Amino acid sequence: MTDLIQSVDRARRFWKFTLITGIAALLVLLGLGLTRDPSRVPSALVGREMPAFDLPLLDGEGRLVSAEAAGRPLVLNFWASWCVTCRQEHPELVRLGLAARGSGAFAIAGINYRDTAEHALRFLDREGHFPYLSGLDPSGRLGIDFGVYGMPETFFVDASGMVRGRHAGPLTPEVLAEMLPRIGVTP
Amino acid sequence: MSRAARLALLAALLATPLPAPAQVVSEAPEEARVRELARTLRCPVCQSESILESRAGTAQEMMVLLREMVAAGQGDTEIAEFFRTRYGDFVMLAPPREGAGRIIWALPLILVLLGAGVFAAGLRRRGPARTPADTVTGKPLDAARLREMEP
Amino acid sequence: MNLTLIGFGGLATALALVLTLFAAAQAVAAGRGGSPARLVAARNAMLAIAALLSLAFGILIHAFTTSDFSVAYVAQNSNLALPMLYKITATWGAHEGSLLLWAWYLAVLSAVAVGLHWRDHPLSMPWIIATLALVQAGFLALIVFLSNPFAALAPQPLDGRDLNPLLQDPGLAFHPPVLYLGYVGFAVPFAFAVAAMIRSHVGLEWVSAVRRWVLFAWTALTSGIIFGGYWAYYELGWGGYWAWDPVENASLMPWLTGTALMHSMMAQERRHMFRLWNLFLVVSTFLLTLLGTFLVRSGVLTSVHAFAVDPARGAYILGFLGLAILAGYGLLIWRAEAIESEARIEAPLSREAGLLANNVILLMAAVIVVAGTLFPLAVEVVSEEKLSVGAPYFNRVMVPLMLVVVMLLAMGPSVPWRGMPSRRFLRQFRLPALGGLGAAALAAGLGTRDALTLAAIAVVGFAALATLADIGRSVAARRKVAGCGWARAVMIAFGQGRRRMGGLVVHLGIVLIAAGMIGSGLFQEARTVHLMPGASTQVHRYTLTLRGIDDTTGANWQGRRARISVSEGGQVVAMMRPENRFYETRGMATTETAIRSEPGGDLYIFVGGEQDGGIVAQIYWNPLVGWVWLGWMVVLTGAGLSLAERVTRPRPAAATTAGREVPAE
Repeated sequence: MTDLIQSVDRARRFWKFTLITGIAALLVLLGLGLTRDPSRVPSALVGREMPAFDLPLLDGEGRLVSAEAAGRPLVLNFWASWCVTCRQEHPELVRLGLAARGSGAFAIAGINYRDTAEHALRFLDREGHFPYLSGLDPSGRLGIDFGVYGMPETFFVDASGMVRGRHAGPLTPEVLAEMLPRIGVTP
Repeated sequence: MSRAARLALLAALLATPLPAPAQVVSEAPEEARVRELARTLRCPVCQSESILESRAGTAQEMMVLLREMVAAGQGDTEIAEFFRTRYGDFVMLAPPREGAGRIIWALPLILVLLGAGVFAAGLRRRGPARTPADTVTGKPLDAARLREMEP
Repeated sequence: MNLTLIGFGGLATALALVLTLFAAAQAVAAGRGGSPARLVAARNAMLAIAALLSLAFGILIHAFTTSDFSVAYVAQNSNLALPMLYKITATWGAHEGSLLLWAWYLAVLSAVAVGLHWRDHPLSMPWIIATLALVQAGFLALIVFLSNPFAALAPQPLDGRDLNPLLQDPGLAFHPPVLYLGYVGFAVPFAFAVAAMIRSHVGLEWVSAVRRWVLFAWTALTSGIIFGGYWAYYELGWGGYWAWDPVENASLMPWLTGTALMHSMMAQERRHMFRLWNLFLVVSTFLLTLLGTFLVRSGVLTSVHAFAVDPARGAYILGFLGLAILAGYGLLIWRAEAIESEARIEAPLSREAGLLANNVILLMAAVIVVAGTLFPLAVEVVSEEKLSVGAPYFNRVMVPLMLVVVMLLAMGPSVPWRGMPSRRFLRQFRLPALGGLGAAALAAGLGTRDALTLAAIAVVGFAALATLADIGRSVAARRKVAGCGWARAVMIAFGQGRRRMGGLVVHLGIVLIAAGMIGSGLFQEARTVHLMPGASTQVHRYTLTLRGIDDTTGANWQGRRARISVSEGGQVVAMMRPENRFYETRGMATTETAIRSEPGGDLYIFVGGEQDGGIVAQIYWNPLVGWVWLGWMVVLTGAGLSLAERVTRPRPAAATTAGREVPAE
């Protein structure tokens, strides 16, 4: 290979050029890579129809059925008692739930993910109960339907039942200000 | 446990007649296919592990789901598509053969061509050496012999 | 007392950092025509750095063995209940301590290199010292400013947060220390190459000086990778040892280019070829060790093995990597014009052509591993999409490439330099080729249908026979010349031709490893069963019966242990005890597999959990997996033989030194 680089001038320039551009691209790529969180995964569900569900309620009799939200925008929050950041977003969810109840412009529901009702209720007793219903997904099967990969995750579904946004991680007013307009709700 | 203790235990086991096994369990017939498929699916909550390797709850639940789908007679592409619509291309450990994934699949072919070119050029340029000690002993290149060299 | 000791550890590290800059400045001044006294000062600074870092590393180990939780790093990675072995190995169980281990290695190897080559390479020495000192400065600055293992923790906690349970294993005592030795070992050849390029003396001098260093680093890197594989095999519980995880790939990249380097250096030694190419490979191998460091420690990629994430460290290592790339490849491009090759490949059936093919393929493999590892990141940066490049891709692409490498490995050593007649070539490999094809035919007769599997069996059979035949021919030739018996001829062949025989033995080891990988990768038998107490299942030729499940406890964990009897033909041959453990302090569960090894394969049991009073077990029969570890021992033997070769070093006319020969023995 050395021979090639030496006497064929053109080849030499080609290798030099390839090496320099390759290295430059690599450094830029690694630099950009530093600015991202590698554990973030984009949702494959955004732009698709929300998967249907029919789950037992966490608290009390009855079921949480996806069809009941039809015709109204829906905020669907996956949470668990074992999830530390869920505690962080808890006040924000309570506030959002009260707003939904007050205006009636959109629905909100929780999915208790890979958890036991006992632990979940103890968590709510400590942190304060949601002003909306939560369904139970102890096996995480519905989570797979939604492509959930970490706790907490929140899905924003518009009135026609299409998923318009997904946020992984704790909800903040900034996230809501970005996501709610996508499903036709003014935050 | 020490070696001696282990041997003693083994001897005791050998001395007592084995109770007939209550039950001989064999694996469910589709399990081999489940394993093959599970090796190709990435556990979404872990760091680069397949759902077969992962101990995470989500991966275990995906295994359960996978078993149900295999038992229901679903095809490989159908199953792959099921997980892909939910988790995206990310969940497939093999990159897709479409879109951006084509680049990484094409890379080996490009490299093989490039490598063959470099190798051929290295051979073609053989000629009289510059050090006086070097003499030409090489025969002219012929395609048949080149093929012998390139496995 | 402890507090001052710890303070001294931090001080020693900081002082070492200052000394690296001093050494580099003095060495550069000496190299640019300054007084030789400056070079002596630089050398002494390098020796002092080695002493200071030995002290610092010793102090950190002492802090772990005495559970000094006033040190933040100790408090985060140790615990009073931790067994003593793991207290010691916890020293390098996380980012800060492992970096200190790295820097300590670099200091010791630098000191050894300076001492060994001081007299033989007086003109290169300033630049060798400057390069090693600057590399060391890069690592020490990271340690002192961004990853200080001696940082204090106040208030001092009563107990530590414990070592990650996955790392509480004897594997931690072997895998990182040996792997890092391999990584760091490539810094010395890099320093020689930089010196050669700066001095524009890119002839044989640097190549013959670093041959042993490259072999030493390669052997350590190979061993480290194999240890890692073995650790993953028995600890992680999925019956395999290589998952194409980004961190695993990071260790494979320099291994591939280092392997290429070891071979292409021969062409320069014997035929004065590949001079620029060798410089490129040695620089690339060193840079790939830095790239690996970046990938593992920056949090850019997700991996089961990655260290805790800190973007500042990532940015720093990237800057360091960038500077190293600029210096290494910059010098290479600057000097490319001046480097003339003196010989050409004369025949396609020659050692040179074989080495060229070996290098082309190994470099292709390295490019594929780098590209495959970084491709998901590239796609994400460009398109916000996320995809994975995992085991199915790498297996598909790398297995054929590696088969070609094994093929070349079998033929290369017995093809002479400058060429051989094709008739002789065909005659020489006829029998091994028939043997390989026979093995594949046998496998096909036994029911193997997959074409790649059959090809792999044929290639490995061929390579094993060809390498053995090669060794046999060497011994036979010695016997003929010496006119002695076979046993004596073996002694002579291995005693006098250490380098050649060592190489052949390494090749034989690699063939064994390949055979083990084919057996365990392609012929694994697996069962997933739910066993109630008293129930049995069949795997391979064994009947496994669950005898019971017991509670079990260790120093810092509680667990459940299944007792499974293994019987063959109605006779109990073994009891196996896979465990599940729970570590209180970190709230983490781990599994301990049970493995029973025999020459034909491993019986491997992993218990996923308990269900309805029974266990859910994954049971594997891994054929030939032991050959991978056996092959590693053969590789080690061959490398040792090759390292033990007598040195015929060109000495200055007035040389009085009795050459000390082997680095870091």
